[in-house]
Amino acid sequence: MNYALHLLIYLSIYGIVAISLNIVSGYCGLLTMAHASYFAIGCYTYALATTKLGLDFIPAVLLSAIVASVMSLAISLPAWRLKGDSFILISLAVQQMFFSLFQNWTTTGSEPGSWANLTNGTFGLSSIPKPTLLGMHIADIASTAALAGTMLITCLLLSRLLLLSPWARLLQSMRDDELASRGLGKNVRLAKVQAIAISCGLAALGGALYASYVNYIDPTVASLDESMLVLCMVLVGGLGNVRGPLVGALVLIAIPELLRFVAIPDAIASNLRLLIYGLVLILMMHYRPQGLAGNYRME
Amino acid sequence: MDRSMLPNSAANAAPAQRGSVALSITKLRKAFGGQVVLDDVSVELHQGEIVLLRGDNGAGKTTLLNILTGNLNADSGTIETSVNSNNETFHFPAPWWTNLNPFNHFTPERLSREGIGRMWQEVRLFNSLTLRDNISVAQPDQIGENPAWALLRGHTWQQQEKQTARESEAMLSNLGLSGLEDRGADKISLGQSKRVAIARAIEAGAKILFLDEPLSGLDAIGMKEVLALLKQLTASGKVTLVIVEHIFNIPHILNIATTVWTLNQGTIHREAPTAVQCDINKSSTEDFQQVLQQFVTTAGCVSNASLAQQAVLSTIVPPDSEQRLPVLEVKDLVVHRGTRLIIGETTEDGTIRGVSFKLCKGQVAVLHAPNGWGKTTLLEAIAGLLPISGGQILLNGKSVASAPAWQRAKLGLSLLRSRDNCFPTLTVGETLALSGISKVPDSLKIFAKRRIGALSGGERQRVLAASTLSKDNFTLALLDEPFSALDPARVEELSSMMLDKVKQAALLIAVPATLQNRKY
Amino acid sequence: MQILINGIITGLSLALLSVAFATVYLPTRVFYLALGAVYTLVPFIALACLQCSMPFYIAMLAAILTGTVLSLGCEFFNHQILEAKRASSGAHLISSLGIYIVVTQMAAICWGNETKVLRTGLDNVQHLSSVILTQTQEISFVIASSLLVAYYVWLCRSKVGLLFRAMADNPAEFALRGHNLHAMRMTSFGVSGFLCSVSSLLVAYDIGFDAHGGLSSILLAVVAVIVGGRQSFAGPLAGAIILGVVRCLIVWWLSAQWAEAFTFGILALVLLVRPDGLLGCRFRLEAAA
Repeated sequence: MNYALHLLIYLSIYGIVAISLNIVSGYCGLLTMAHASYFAIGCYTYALATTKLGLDFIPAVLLSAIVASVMSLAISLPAWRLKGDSFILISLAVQQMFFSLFQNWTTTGSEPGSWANLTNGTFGLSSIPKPTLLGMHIADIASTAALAGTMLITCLLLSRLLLLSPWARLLQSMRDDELASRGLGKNVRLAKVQAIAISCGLAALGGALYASYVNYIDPTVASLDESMLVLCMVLVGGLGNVRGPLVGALVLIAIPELLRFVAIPDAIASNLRLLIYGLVLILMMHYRPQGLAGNYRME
Repeated sequence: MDRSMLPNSAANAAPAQRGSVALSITKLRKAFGGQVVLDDVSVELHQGEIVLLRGDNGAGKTTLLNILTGNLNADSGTIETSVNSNNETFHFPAPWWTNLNPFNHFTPERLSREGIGRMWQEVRLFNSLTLRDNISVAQPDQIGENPAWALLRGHTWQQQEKQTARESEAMLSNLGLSGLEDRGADKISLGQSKRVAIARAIEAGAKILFLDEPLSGLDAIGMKEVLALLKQLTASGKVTLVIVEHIFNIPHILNIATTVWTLNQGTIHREAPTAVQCDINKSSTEDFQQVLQQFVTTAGCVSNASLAQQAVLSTIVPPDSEQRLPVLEVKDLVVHRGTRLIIGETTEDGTIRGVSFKLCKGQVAVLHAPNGWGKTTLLEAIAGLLPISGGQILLNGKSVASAPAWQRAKLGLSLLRSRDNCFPTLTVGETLALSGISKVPDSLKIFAKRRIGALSGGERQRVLAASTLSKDNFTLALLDEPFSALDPARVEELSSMMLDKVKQAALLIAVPATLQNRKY
Repeated sequence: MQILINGIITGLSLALLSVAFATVYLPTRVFYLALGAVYTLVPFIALACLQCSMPFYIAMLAAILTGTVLSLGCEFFNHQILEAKRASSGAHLISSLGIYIVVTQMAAICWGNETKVLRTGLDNVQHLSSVILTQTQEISFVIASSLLVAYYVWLCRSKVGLLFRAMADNPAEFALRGHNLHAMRMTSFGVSGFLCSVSSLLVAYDIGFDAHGGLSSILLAVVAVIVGGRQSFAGPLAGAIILGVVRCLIVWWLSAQWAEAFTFGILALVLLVRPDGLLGCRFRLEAAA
């Protein structure tokens, strides 16, 4: 039972991140490799806000989302000019820089979380408190799962409302033909900043939830592999609609769990999981480039 | 609008007869890397006018359009707009401090909000949206376009959205497209998509509408529908039109135009439509017509065959052509680009009829077709760059419909494309060597060591024509607008080179249709 | 001086890799991340051959051959099929990434995740006036520079090199001139795989290798290509040497941890300020378009 709840929590976390990535990749047509950085910004902001500032769950989560949204300017301003391969590269650059920042903002001897040793380097931040919500202390796995599920559903509803609005139609027009969209008087630069900020804010929400669940974070949450995993999810699930990313998150979380039922030595289980991700990506590109449930094909 | 109501010298008529000035351009200048395209363009556009903007290929019509719609910055000059009693002035070059304000640039979105709209030559509808959304998205000032309001004021934007959708549907049914509201924009005919694009610009609030070749690529029905829409728009007098059109379709536009702007050597002259009418009836022979005559006198008589729509294939048949083997046979060829039918016609019973023709050794065929007909598509499909959807292509009797381009080239086919046709970083000598020509022809010796990318358009065209026509073993040359960008002396040189080669091969030359076609 | 020399030597073996990437990227526009798979697999093959007590040179040759064949396989079984379907460049990139993941994880399953070495024993050190050079550095300098010289001579002087540059300029016109596009694409993947294998072996011989470093090395090479200029074959070389020197300087002044941040900082700067790269220039032709 605990195992199922654990899976539900993971599904919620990655579901939220996949939903957020879909806004950038599916509706703006920009493949970003920097999404794990914003997930990690969420993790770190949450961790610092709860341990250092002593904030409650909701204020800490909101703070993470806001910090990530502001940081998202690092990829949204270059997106004014760059698209395609160039944008992928700049997002990669942003990803690497954030990763180095998490890894290197450290001074031996200072207390973790202080200004000189903000991220505590590769050792990461530990003993992040369990969430406290409206005076309730959410410590056991069942209530955490309920919290995570609620957050997933909230995000899903938010994204549904957003993605059926004229704003999403504006994004789609910009994705199809940016010049034509500008010729109709649309401020596509503002729209890109908004979309990327909202997306990164949502990713940070997922990150905060993750930090509160595992109680310990280190720079690997910001690694390129993490970005790729989320990218796999939206690509497998499909871009450009509300349900695609959720399908992707479900599939990619289910695959490795199914492997547990086959007797495989633990040592190679994680390698095998990645191997399967790779295979899935290749097969998708050959046989279903629009994803399992998507309606937009990445150009 | 009835043109006979206007005095003959409409262009010089007193301003009182026209509306107030909506757009005024002063001393506009634009050069690309030393090549001056627009030089001292000064002209005024009055409200309610219908302007035909004409000029030769490469005269800078599209450049002017790009500048006036904010897609391109001019080098110097001034543009003043005054639409909706709102005056704006843009100076070029813009003073440096304007760059500090990121929201006040000379951009398409800014000009669109000033009431300037555009229909693109390649239409550019939003393909992943439905027709309804294609028009709805253009509506300015939508509450739901702000994500915060999209979340917080759901009721308000949904109300507005219903209203917008109703308007869009009314607009579509006005275009005769009711029932297609949920159709994807890439799944309608070209004529329909052009009308939707015009409607989209109007929905965005355009008071001055620039149309880039609105009639190109359309069949007779499509043209009639687009023209009817343009007439309907101008009847209300609220929309001012500037129409760029290719020479073949100019007579259609002259029927509705009130003024003609002729772009020549970088400047604009205003003319009256009637004067232009006489002008084009008088001078409709072009250089290549003389070239054609040259081939005729040496080789035999001309036979004209009509292909789909208004295209004509004039084949010069040598006297003894009966015994000659066909080099190229095209049977019932159908080509699509995306979902759109380019080569071939839909017959009344719904089947698609392809294009068929035959070309023998020693023959020269000239394909005249209006811009947008699909000349380039046809030639590229024959050469194997585009997949075909139906029909047969026989090269020297062998079916090549599924062979890749390089195999067709090995079988003796060579194609001179009209654009995107060179290797910019290779030198002239290397380009020729690629085609198997080891000796650089004398006429090109002077720039044998230069890179293709550094040559001018005319020089490049000569090199490429030489590399296409001097190949040893070719039996069929397809030439896409080979005479563009050449001066008369070079046209002469090229045509004599063709004459030289036609003995051993067949040539298919595609040229834009001129008014002479209309006689056929 | 020492730093400069170290930087140039590192830059040269990076240049092999970035030239390998450009060899595929320029003519085919495939964003060839699967090169990272070649980069990862090759030293493992060499190690396996050495463990079977093959002679050193045979082992190296076998490894390079495997790398080349793997690269050809990527084209034959993946990119060529996608190209025939007219797939988008995104599909090429993602499937290439998929291949990278599959191959590296297989290598990790077969040989484990730990770092391995090809070299046994310590390096000989030589003093040339004030500069200290290890024997490995000398070997990698000689091999990398001679291969690069050979590559550029081949590119500029030979018939195939001409075809190659032509295909990079304009693949459609290349085919229209009657040259076999498929064969030339295969050649480019083969050459790319070969160069990448050699580069990988040089680095593995110097500092060791593991199953997970491939992608970051390839990304570094990509950065070099972009920084140098992606329109020409000279760009990658210039970019790689600049990066090599800059990274050595950063390691010297700051610490090795910041090298990545600075590398990608340079990338971001170049993309924003000079999107065509440092050596990039626009021709009259493109300016008019």
